Amino acid sequence: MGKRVAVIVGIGQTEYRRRGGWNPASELELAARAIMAAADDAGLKLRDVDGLCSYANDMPGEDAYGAALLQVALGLPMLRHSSFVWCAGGGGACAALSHAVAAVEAGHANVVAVVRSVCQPPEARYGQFSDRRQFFNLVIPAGAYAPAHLFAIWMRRHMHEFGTTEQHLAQVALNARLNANRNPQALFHSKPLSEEDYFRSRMVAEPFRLFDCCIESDGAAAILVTTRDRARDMRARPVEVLAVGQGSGGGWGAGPLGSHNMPRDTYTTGNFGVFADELFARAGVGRNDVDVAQIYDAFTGMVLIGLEDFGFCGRGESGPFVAAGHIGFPHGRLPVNTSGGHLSEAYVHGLNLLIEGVRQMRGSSTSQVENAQVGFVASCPGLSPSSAALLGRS
Amino acid sequence: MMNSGLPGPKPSQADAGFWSACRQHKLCARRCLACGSWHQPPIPMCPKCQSSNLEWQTLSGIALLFSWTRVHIAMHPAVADAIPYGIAVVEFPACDGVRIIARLDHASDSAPAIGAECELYWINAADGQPLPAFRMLLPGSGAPFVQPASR
Repeated sequence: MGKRVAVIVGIGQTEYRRRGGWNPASELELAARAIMAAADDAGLKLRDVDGLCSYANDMPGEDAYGAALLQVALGLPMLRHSSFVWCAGGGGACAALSHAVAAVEAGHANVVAVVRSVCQPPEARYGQFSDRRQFFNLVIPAGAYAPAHLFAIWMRRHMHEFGTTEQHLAQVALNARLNANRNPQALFHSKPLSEEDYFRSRMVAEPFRLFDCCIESDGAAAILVTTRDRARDMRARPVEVLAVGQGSGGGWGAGPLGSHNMPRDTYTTGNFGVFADELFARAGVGRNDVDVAQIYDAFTGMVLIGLEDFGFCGRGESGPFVAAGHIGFPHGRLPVNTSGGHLSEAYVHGLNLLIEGVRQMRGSSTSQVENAQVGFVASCPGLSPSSAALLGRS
Repeated sequence: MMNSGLPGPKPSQADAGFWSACRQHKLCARRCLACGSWHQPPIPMCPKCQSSNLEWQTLSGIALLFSWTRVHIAMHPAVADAIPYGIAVVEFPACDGVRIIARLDHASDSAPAIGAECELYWINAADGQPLPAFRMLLPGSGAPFVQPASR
């Protein structure tokens, strides 16, 4: 028997709805439905799923989902792998994929689902004051009640150091919206956004306006990983995982979600550090080989910093890079967030970005980059540990 | 003093010393007695030398504005009348560059200047717990810092 190589064979999503739109469904139910959709997409029987990976379970409660409950809900006869990524938030999407790949390649499990479900209860909205905010004592006494406040401070420093402007942030928001306008699953599919609309939208926390912030949505997404051998019998064209993993530099801790005591020389980065070079080396591809990228965009500024961290442009050069149209579809050098991303499709903590990365490698995106062979996906810049993946067309 | 309504900390074993020092209007950070280095936020070991011989010491020297935001939507009822209000990250160069995140007093039509000196003052949370806050100073003058917005 040859070496087991893991590939992505299924993608599934629930419908994405505005916050509260799935009420009274629970995160558990949506997670289960996304896995069912992924199994159907792959042409697999649900009972074949024997591994469950997730991350960012930051809203504990009786509705919180977990491997044990998912196994019951889905009727899985045997669970051989379950894992959960240590992380404050969306830094874990690609990391959970790496756990799934590792479990499949090690032979610990055969069909592993990566899942993330978001169904925000009214008392614990991500974008509002919450008694359960992580790193509460560091940020709440400062009046920093929401991630927008904290990442705004981080972005402001980038603007100070490199001359990045609100106009550059606008380009990221407009790009996401144009892509969402081509994607019927996107919440903002039928809502165009002009530059004037962007600048007229209300300020949330300078420099972030409303349209610099992701959508408040509910929904779930799942991906199925199995061996390349097994994938031969399946419905969809398998997608290669060229490289995937976690990587964060030292000294960050809670980073921008905490007291902002990151090292001075890396403060205006996403803290991926040497991981970026390691990821490309493991995949055996270069930056110029990447045809399309999905970069975590809870806020517009994350896309700018992600482009820099992974070397698609130089440090501090992301503003001019986006202003030159390089992230646009179809003519940009590197189309970014081609489903609309968190800003305009839905906010599923990076798993919907991973799904869009898979669609690009299948050739089924609604903003399909012609002949795309290599796709890049980054989880949340600035959260430690964060993660990223390089996907390939098979 | 009128109840500000502001949510304050829920002191834990890790940071009780910080908040009790605040009650005496002393702004502290953690200092390692073995190697002398400062760190923030508190963790049980010195990040430089891994000693657990740590102490809360009062931050000294000037505080410089490292970055900031100004919040325009009230996400807690206690700040409804304060909108827009500032949040600062200030740096203490004399204490290994330790940073503190706190409310920033500002002129609402101005953009705070990164690198400018800040002055510490105190506000109270709903339960009376003093919270550190900063206001901008023009270097040397003690006057409120005002600079036209860059837009």
